[in-house]
Amino acid sequence: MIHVKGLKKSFGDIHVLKGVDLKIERGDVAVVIGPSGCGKSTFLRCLNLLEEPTAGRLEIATQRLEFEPGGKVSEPRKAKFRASTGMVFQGFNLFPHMTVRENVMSGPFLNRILSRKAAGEKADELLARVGLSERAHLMPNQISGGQAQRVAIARALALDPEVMLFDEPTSALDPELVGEVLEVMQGLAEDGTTMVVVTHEMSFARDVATNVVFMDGGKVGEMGPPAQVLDAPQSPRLQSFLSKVVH
Amino acid sequence: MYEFDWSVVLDGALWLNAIKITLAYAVVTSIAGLLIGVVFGLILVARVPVLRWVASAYVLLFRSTPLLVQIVWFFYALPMVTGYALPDWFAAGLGLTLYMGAFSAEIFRAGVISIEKGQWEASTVLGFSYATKMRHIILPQATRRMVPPIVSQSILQLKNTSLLSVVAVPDIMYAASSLTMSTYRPLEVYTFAALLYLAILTPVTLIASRYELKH
Repeated sequence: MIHVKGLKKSFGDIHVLKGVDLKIERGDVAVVIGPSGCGKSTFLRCLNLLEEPTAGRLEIATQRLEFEPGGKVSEPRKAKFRASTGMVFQGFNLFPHMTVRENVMSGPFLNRILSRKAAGEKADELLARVGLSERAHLMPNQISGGQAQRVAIARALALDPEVMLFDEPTSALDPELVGEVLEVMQGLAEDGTTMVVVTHEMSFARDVATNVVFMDGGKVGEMGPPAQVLDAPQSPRLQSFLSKVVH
Repeated sequence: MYEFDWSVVLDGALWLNAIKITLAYAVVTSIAGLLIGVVFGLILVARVPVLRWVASAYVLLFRSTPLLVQIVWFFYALPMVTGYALPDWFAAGLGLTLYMGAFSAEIFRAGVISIEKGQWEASTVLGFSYATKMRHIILPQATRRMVPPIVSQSILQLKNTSLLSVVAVPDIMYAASSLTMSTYRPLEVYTFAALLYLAILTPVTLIASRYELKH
């Protein structure tokens, strides 16, 4: 499903990703953890080419791209590749001038995949799925952060992505709102959605992940099922990281 | 003690015509300038190759030279350079229009780049084309932010029409100068002219601040 080989990313002289190798199967939930600055967000942003890797190979579903330093992948090629992914951001990034429903419709409708009516019906279904049918006609500034993030999830799902990418989806939320977002994500996982989640929520990693990926210094440090990575960490780096994280 | 004689300003026809001229130049050059600003602003924002250098040079040139110099240059120097005489009324408005255009382009650019990076990224991951992003996501938010600076630039534009009097456009300022010459009453005449500008712009300013409170 997702196959990453030798993926590197540098910003000028700063080498953020130093060769990431990773395989994720369809239906897997990969939770990426690691200390700040380890490259986990950059890795996620490379998966949908918000950042263009400087080297390595990337395969998602049926698409494959190779990268080289200075080699620029064309925008249409990037867009085509990106279409197999959906992304949820830390800061929600809802469109503030559109209602909740219009936000969810925007992908299929503005890309002319569906008619306004069909896109609206799809939005209604998705809003029901994230438990926000009642909020459809509100503006983003009239709902809570937890609700906004659920709308953002529905908006990404509206394009039927093969993989959902989550970049610290609960880090900007008040503690009491984290649960409702994780619940929706858990529901997606149970429905078989392939997901890559960068998060600090260890309980989510433990309960929902099929793979936990510990990133350290721009590489994959350890990887495996949660019981192995979280409960029997091999490297001192991971042991030290886990001891500092609140469970 | 100075003795006021306000009767000298009582020349209804003169002022009425002057007000019309001032308003016409303010409105027409503002709108034309805005249109130029949108075009050049889009070029700057979209980083169109080559054209963006032209646009940057234009903005720099017109923002960094005095408007009075521009007006006089287009009125007297341009016909010498081109060998072609533009109608006076047109040449007089050219400087004002291009001046407004340069500031509008900057306001447009600033409005667009003020939109958070997250909005661009969200549109990118949803697969929107550049045109769709601009039209449906960025510009609807950016235009709201452009309104206050455009209003204030338009207010400046109306006041700046007073510079047209140097090329003999019979606006409010020109009417005041000629009335002063015939009556030798600068105090009353220029005070009255100032009051006219104030009367025109006070409502505009009030409406603008109402709008800002609302948004």
